Amino acid sequence: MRIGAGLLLLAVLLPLFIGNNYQLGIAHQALILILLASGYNLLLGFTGLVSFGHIALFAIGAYTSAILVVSYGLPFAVGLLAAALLTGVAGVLIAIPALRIKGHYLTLLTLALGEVIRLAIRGMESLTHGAAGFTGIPRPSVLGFTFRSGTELYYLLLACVVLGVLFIARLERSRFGRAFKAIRDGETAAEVCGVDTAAMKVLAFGLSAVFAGVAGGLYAHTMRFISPEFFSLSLTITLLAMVLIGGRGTVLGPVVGAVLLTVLPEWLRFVKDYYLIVFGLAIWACTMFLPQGLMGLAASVVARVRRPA
Amino acid sequence: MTALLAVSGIRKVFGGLTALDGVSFSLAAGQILGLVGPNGSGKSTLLNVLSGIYTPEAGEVHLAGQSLRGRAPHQIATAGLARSFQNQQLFAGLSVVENVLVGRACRLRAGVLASIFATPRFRREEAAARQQAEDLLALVGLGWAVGASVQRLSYGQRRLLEIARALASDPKVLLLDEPCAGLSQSEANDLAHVITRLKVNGLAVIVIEHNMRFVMGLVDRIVALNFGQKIGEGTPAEIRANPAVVAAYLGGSGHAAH
Repeated sequence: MRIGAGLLLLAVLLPLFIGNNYQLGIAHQALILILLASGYNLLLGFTGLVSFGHIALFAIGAYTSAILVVSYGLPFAVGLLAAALLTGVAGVLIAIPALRIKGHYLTLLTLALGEVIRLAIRGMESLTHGAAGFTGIPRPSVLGFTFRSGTELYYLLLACVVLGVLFIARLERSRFGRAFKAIRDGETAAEVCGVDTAAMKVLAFGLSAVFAGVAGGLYAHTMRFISPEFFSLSLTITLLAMVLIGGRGTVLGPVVGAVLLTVLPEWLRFVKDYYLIVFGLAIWACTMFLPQGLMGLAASVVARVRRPA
Repeated sequence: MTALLAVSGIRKVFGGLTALDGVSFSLAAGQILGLVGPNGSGKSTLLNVLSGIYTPEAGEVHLAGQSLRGRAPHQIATAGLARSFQNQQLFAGLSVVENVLVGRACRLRAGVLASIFATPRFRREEAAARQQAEDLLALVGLGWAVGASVQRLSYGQRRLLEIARALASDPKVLLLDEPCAGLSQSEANDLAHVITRLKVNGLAVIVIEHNMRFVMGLVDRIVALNFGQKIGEGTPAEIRANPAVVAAYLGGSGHAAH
């Protein structure tokens, strides 16, 4: 809780220390990815379901809002809400076959579904402008106020992130959070304990998809340009790494992971092409030595400092 | 007598192996039934059929007059049948009290929105569930461990936690698969004491146990299985005098009695 409050304070003050629009743009990306990774963590970290199709949901959210706002002239708020709903429905539809298969097979199925959705987006040119990408998406605007400057946009995104993280923190402390983790730690035992594991998995897929949809909608209106190439498998791997390095199954892990893996590539510019090697080694080291990620490490350090009396 | 749990003609086949062959018995509220038999006689398979993990090829289970046919395990748990496992299956990523709260899952009603906004109804429900969980932990002697992680518990304490978790759903019937394995004699005595207290409140218990001192002192009746068939039923004294049971334990199959 205290760590969360500290991070929030930092985030609120951050624009005061950011000099240029380029850095602010990176901050925008980090915030959107926090939202995406936090939702993904509901599946991967809390419920233990490894989906490789999550980026496709992110793409559906981005395209839904872009199409409704640009092609149909609907307000941003309507576009974002529709993105959330449609992506949520897509998440539930993915969950239904996912109930029948487990482990690696689930991962492969979701990988295939994700690619199919990405190719479908590229193929439906009249709707999505295909491989050329979707341009001219307006800045978010709510009740007549348009978030024009980078700083205004930053605070809009931050507000969404705070709501999203609070949502997950509250959910974790309810019967749903406990049921998700119980499924992750022992599906049969959870079922026998009276947890409706099928319903809970569908819920986890649906909620994480809504997060992806909102993040996608915000991404479209922040970047103002989206193309199918952005929503590729490499982004899926990055997302996976954000949750694993930050700390799966913790509320703040994806926050830390998303910020780190958005900012780190900027700092590591000098290593250029070797970046992916560094990145791969970091994932490897985390799975070997920090199974609970950086937040797990922080928790054990705090526990050790408090105990030695 | 109307039976709380009525099991009739259960048959379960794995490939060519008949694990259960026409097993029938019944159980009244407040009764404790011991399930005995050599290794591989079908005891654990029977518990897995009762709790819905396995679907039997034939036979019926009725709980309080309702048929459990075709129900998922969580529906059976909701109907009032809870269990512990032979190989412990606790939720390692949850604290001790949260493990018990998962056992309460099927009795909690708060929706996602109520949980997110922490409505008064949600808070009342959570507080009551937590109080009950802490009471159950105190009952099994784990009151000190409420917020601890599962890893801090000994093997025997984990068994007790599994039993507290099973009790959290307010079951009518409790199935215990070798609850004494890994317990010291004094812990086993404490557990027997707990089960006796629950029995007074009307809980029916089916227990698989090799610790004969524990079984003989605790149970009202015993059902003996061998090669998936019921070979005897009666009071502990009757079972001890039953030649078929004695032969199953001491016969040429190489299984020794404890």
